[in-house]
Parts: sequence; structure tokens; C-alpha cells
Amino acid sequence: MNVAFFASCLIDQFRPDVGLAAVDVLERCGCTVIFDERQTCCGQPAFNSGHHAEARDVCQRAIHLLHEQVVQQGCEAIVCPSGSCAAMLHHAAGLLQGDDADMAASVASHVHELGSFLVDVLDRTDVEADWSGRVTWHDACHGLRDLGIRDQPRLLLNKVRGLELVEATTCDRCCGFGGTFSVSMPGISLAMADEKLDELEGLGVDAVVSGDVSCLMQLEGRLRDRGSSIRGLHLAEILASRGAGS
Amino acid sequence: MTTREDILARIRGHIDASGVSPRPTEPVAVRTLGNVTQDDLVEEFAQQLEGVAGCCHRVGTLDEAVTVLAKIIAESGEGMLARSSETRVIDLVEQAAGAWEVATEQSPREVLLDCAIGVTTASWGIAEHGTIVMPSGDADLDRERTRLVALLPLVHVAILRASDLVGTISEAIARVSSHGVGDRPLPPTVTFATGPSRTADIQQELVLGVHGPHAQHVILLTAE
Amino acid sequence: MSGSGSIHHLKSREFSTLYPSALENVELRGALAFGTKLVSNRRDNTVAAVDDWQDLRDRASAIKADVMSNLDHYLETFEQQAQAVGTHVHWASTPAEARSIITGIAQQHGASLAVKSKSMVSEEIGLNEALEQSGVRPVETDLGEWIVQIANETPSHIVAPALHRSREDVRELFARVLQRPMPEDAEGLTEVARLELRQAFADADIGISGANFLVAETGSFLVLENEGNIRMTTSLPRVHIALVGIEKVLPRLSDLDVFLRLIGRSGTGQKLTSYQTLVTGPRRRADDDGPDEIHVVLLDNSRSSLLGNAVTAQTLGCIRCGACLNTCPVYRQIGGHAYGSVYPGPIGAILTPQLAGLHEASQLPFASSLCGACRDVCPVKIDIPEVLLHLRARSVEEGPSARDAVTNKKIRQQGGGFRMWSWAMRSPWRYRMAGRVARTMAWLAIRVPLVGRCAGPLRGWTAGRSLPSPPRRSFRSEMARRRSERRS
Ligand code: SF4
Repeated sequence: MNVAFFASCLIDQFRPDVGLAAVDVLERCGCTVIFDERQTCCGQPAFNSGHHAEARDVCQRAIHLLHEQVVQQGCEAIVCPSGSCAAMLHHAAGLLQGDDADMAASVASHVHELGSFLVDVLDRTDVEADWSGRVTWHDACHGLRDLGIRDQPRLLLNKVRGLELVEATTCDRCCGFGGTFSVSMPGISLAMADEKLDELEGLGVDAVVSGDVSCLMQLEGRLRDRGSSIRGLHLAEILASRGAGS
Repeated sequence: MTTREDILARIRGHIDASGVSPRPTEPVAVRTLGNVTQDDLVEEFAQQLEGVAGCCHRVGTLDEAVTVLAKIIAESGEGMLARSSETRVIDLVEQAAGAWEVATEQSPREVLLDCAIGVTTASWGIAEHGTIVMPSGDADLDRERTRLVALLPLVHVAILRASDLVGTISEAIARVSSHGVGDRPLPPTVTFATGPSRTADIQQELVLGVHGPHAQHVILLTAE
Repeated sequence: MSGSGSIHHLKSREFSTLYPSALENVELRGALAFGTKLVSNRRDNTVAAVDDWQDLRDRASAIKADVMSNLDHYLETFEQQAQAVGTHVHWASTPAEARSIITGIAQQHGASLAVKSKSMVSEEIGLNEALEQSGVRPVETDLGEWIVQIANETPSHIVAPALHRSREDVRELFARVLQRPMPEDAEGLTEVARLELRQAFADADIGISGANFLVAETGSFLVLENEGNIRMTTSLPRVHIALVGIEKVLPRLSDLDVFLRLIGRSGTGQKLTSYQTLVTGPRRRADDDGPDEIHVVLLDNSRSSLLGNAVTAQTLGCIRCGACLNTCPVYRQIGGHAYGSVYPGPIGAILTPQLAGLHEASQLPFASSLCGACRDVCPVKIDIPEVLLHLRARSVEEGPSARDAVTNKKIRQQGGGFRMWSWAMRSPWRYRMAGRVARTMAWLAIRVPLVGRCAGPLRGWTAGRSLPSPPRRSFRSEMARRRSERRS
């Protein structure tokens, strides 16, 4: 299956290893991954801050490129290793107008977050990953609440050799990132992260795993500041692993 | 324009401007618990009422009810009891009151405020919640006055016939509704009461009995 | 477009100073964490036991949409039916009008004491002060509301007004105000309040309440509660006044079933609250109990303007259950007072600016990570994040007149940034350059403390979080390398 890969700007610039890991997993599952180098951002940062005009220009561009990949390059799916950006692409029709909105709706029907793509589209829960250690899953808000991703990552993680998944009661509580919110109201944002991390530190886990790099930056940044040894890992990094472990 | 017309015009103007067209909903059928017997309703009612710290006493007839009421009275020590003027209630209280002084719904408020126990009937019971339903002042029903007697004393005892149990709140509303058909309005007040009065306003700690009764007894007459 | 109304004692412009002091208040945060967690867990458990919960929410949301699409009609029907059973119906465009209607009724009856049951609309219009000024002493009778009243503060939660206070706190307050030693336990303290308030109930000339629902079909209103103070308030005084927002009307009596199944579970985790009182006019028989006179005051206060847009109109569906407050990660950290409005939390962050004007509360729509937990729990399916985003966009589009100084500064700064960002993001080449700059900045911020501390927006990020070292190469250049390796 030809798959268009939407990396997201954050992964592209700050966590390329996550993007590469996602590509590895997709290829291992038999996909031909096509990455269009012209892509940049989905427009979400500006959209969420109320700057719709700026967001619209960027979003429209992303939609055009992805639409081209579907129509001209025969990509059957668009996969994004970020629930948040996938959700933005799902909602883009509401931001755009006329033909662009139609195009966005058609793009949206092809967009999948990585974990959900593996489980729901490819019907794979075992991707032959091998990673030893104890982890807990953080449900990133947009993946969970906009896209309904809850079971898929857990199914995938449970099939990873050597991995032990433990649940946190705060698994579905927001990490406090929220884009510009984390910068403009850092006090609240950090307090939100701490509420989760207080529990995580008591679970004895090696890593907190999530489907969104933005959450991981928030949680890892805070963990490091608290002097904790818990790592923040993206689902793709675990799934791509063939035996490195914690 | 009056304020009233002003507000209505503003509402209409904004709705029109939004381009939203009317989105009428149709009434839905009365919700029931399905195929249940009266015994099932009694069982469910009792269980639900106990679940919210109320007491359900299942008795066959009014005679057995006397014993139950006498026990409730004995447990409350000494004091004054208020009763409504429904025949069964009058009967019951007469036999069970013992040494207690009895006030009626006609008594002055100061007296009712001092009563430890209030006895009334309830018109209906709702099994799914253990709720009793008490309409007041329905001219056509010419029922007893329950409003203050069921509210002011620390303990409320309601007499309810098992045949007046319904399954759901939806059915109870339908019963209330059937009293307001045509030109006949609903009773001025219908009170739905589920267990004793409660609060959690101090550090989320549950305390039973604030302004309403501290204890809610329902004497359920299963053979009437 | 919206927001020409007002909210009593509104301080939402001070949000940027109110919330940091809330964050520093250890006691407050303890009480908040405890209370919100307890109630939201209870809610989750009770809701999980209802098989058709999602259907119920759909039904409730459809009924509310029905009402909002035809509100004038339903209000007229309500008025007609209410008048037919002898209820007086009053209309108020503004808080001032509502206050003068109510004080007028009180004066007409020579009232000197009013018992009140918790009403957020009464807080919204500052009714207590107006009553006092006209010589009527208002006594709040809901325990939480009474605590807040004698402490001379405002509620911090729309369902649990004293959520911010610990038991010890309440004990000290009672001892100070009542000038006598107080019991330690909640039960003893509750008993103290009960006895204090009994006399007020016996003496009151008028009773004042809000209403959870108005029923158009029958001209009734329904109030629900746990304590019994509303039953007292609606039963004992000779005159009763219900102050209600115009959005509270429902088409039919049978609709109550849907909302009663939702509201108790959502608000307190109870299947049903202890009491529901359905009032359809004053007493009709001379020998019955209950008020001789019932007034319903319908308040607009800018609510009608929310109907102008399908997104904002959702706000009016709110049944004030409080579930969104309890689950909100922001509310859980800062509590209700920080919002500076009688309507705090997620619903407050959308309702306050829409009633009082965006410029009065422009920071509130930004005080959210858009996590969506509020939307998930809302029993009437209000898409609160959607409304927050709508209000953010309006802040940006409508310019400085639609925001306060803090928001203005932030939007101006961000505006410049986003224009550059948008320009950069529209060309792969500019994007690559911008990415390189960002990574270099991050690299510098870690190694050169001064950069970390002074780097504009980055400062909010670096305080309290340690950045990882940024990668040297981006994903796209790694991909390009892979591709050329594979080719060779
Ligand atoms: S917005 Fe929804 S969840 Fe929040 S108080 Fe209103 S009805 Fe409850």
C-alpha cells in the first residue's frame, strides 16, 4: 500500500528519530512510504491561537499537497505520527472554504494517526517489536478525544516483546502542553504536568509513551527538570525497536 | 416597545441572522422498566431507597403498618408528631402515637417546626430511584396537605401503596401530567423526594439531614 | 455582536494576577485537588453504569437545539401557560431591570427578610446587594452558599460554592462569625447551620430561588437540590420569586426525564438529587400550604445575542451541572475565584466573555490547553473547545477593542510571530531555514543561560522545563540521505 507520510513540523525539526522510526514500522508492515518534501506544517499552532488568516494559508497548502499525493501518486492513506496534527487535518474543512473545503474533506477521509492506522486499517497489532522495560501510556488529548484513539496503542504495546505496560489513573489527563498555552501560562501548564508526573514517578516505569511529540516535550522537559530518570518515548520509537530496550 | 417585546424581537432577530432553521423534536414514548411485576417494583424500590440511606418497610396491611410506625416513634424518644388528614394516616397515627402529642397539618407553623416526626401518604413511588412523589393542593384530588408535614419534622414517614409504584421517573411524570390535561392545570407543587435530605458542602463529606428530614421512612403497603 | 450585558463584580480582567496567586495558595490547591477528584470520580462511576448515556446526551442536545432555534416561541408559550395558573411573569433585559423588578415586589409586600436558595443568576446580577440597599435582608440557605455569604466572598464553583474551603476553615469561620466554640466534625457544623437558618425560614417574607428548568407546555418551573432548603424556600414564605435566564425553558414536561437522568449524575455523581420540586403556580385552595404569589423573572442580559451564531448558541444549552469544572485540568489547579467571574471553569470561560463582552474577559478563552475533557463530560454535548477557539479568533479579528491590555499585548506579539511563521511555512525553502534557526536557538538556549532567560516566548518554556538538545539534522534531510543511500 502506498502511504503518504505527514511528518508534522515538530517531528521534522525536533524529533526526526520519531519520524524515521514511524517510517521503519510502516515499511516493516509492507507499506511504501512516500514523503513529500514540500510539506511543512498543518497550521494548527496559529489556528489554536485564534490567528485564522495565517492558519488558513498554511493549512490550505498542506491540504493541496496531500490531495495531490492521494490523487496523483495513488496514496491510499495519509499517515501522521501525531494525533494532534491528524486531528487538525480532520478539522481543516471547517477552516477552509469552497473547493478547498471539499478537498480538505476528501483528504480527511484518508488521514490516520500512526497507531490507529496499524490497528484499524492494516489490522496489525504485532509489528514484531522488541523492547524491554516497563512503560505507561499517556493518552494525548486530541488523539483520544478528537479521534477516539484509546485501545489501539495499548494493543500494539501489549504485543511488544519484553515490554510491560502499566496503567496510570491520570493516563487521560492533559499533560498541560496546549501549544502557546504552555508558554503564555507556564504556571498552570507545569502544575498540570506535575499532577501526572507525581503519579508516574510512583509507578516505577522506565518511560512514558505517547502518540504526540508535543506532549512528550512537555512531559520530558518537566521530568528532566525534576531530576527524574523516566524517559519520554513516542509509540513509533518502541514499535520500531528490535531489541534495544530501556 | 416593552421590555418583553424587545427581548422577543432580539431573540427572533438573532435566530434569523444565524440562519438556523427550527429544529423541532418530537416527544418520545414514556420510558418503562420493561416487563416487570409489582413484586419486582417493590424489590427495586426498596433496594434503591436503602441505597440512599432511606428506610423501606414492607408490610401487608395497615395493621402491620401500625407496628412499624410505633417502633419508629419509640425509637425517637419523646416529642410531638405531625400528621396529615388522610383517613389512613389518621387511623394509623391514632393507633401508634402512644404518649406522643399529635399535631395536624392545620397546626400553626411554629408547632410544625417543633415536630420530630411527620406522617403523610405519598401518591406514587418510583422504583428506579426509591423516590416518593407528593403533589400538593390539587383541588380536584382533594388530597391531604403533605407539603409542610413531609418537610419540617426531622423524620418523615410516608405511607405508600405498592399498587402506586411505577418503574421510572418518566412514568411518574406521565402520571403527574395526566392530572394536568385539558384546562386542568398541574397541582401547584409536586415534590419528588429520594431519601433523606443531605449535603456535602463541607469538604465533600456526606451529612444526612440539613434543612429537610434527617430520616426518610416509607411504609409500603403490599396487600392494598 | 455579543456581550453587551454585565456580570456583577466581574474581575476577569485581572485573571493574569489572580491565577498566579491561586497557584501559590497551597491550602486552596489541596482543597481543590481533593474536591474535584472526588466528585469527578463519582461522576465517572455513576455514568459508566448507564447503558444509554450517549443516547441521552444526544437527546438532551437535540432538545436544547430545538429550544434555541425557536426560543421566542417557547418563552411565549411558557408565559401564557404560567399566567393561566396565576404565576406573574416578568421580563428583564438587563441586571438592573431584574433587580428593580425584584426589589419592587419585595417593597410592595413590605418585606424585610428574604430566604434564598442558591441561584447563579442572582450572583450574576448582584441581587443580594440590591436587596440590602432596599432594606431587605437576604439570607442564603444552601449550606455552601451560606458559608460563602457569611465569609463575605463569592462562590468558587457553580454547584459546590464552598469547594475551596476545608472543614477546618469552615469551623474557624463559624466560630468567628457566630462568636462561640464550634464542633469539629462536618455533621456538627451542618447542624449549627441548620438551626441558624431555621429561624430565617420561619420569619422570611419572601423566598427567592433560581430554576433549573422552565416547562413551556405547563407553565411550570423545576428546581432540584439535596438539602431541602429549596423546598423550604418555595413552601414557607407567602411570596416566591424565581429568577431565571431565558435559555432555561424546555418544550414539554416529559423532557424532564432526560435532563433529570443527566444532571444529578453529571453534577454530583448521584443518580438523582434528593429533591425535585415542580412548581405550577401559587396555591389554589385557601387551606393549602405554599405561596400566595409566585413571580418568574426572565432575564436576558445579552443571552439572546448568543443565538446569532450556531457555535455560540450552544453555550445556552448549559444546565449548570458543574461537571466541566470538576474535570477541567485548569480549574483543578486554580479554582473558581481566579476566573474573576461567578461563572468559572470551562463554561465560565465561554459564558463570561459572551455575556459581559469579550473585552471584559478576553484572557479566559486562552486559559485552556484545549484538552477537550469538558466536551466529553458535558451532558448536553456543548463543544466548549470549539467555542473557545471561536472566541480566540474573535479576539484576534475584532482588534484591541475586543480585548484587555494583557490579551492585547499577547495577541500583538503573537500576531507578528504568526505572520512570519505563516510566510515561512508557505515555502519549503523558507521552512527549512526557519527550522534551522529554531533548532539553533534551542541549542543556544540550553548552553547559554542568558539566551534561555531572554529568548522572548521561549522564556515561558524554559522556566520549569529542561529542553533536550535539538537534533543536528531534520527528518527531511535524514530522509533525503536514506533515499540517496538506497539508490546507490
Ligand atoms: S457546560 Fe456542560 S458540563 Fe459544563 S456546567 Fe454546563 S452542562 Fe455542565
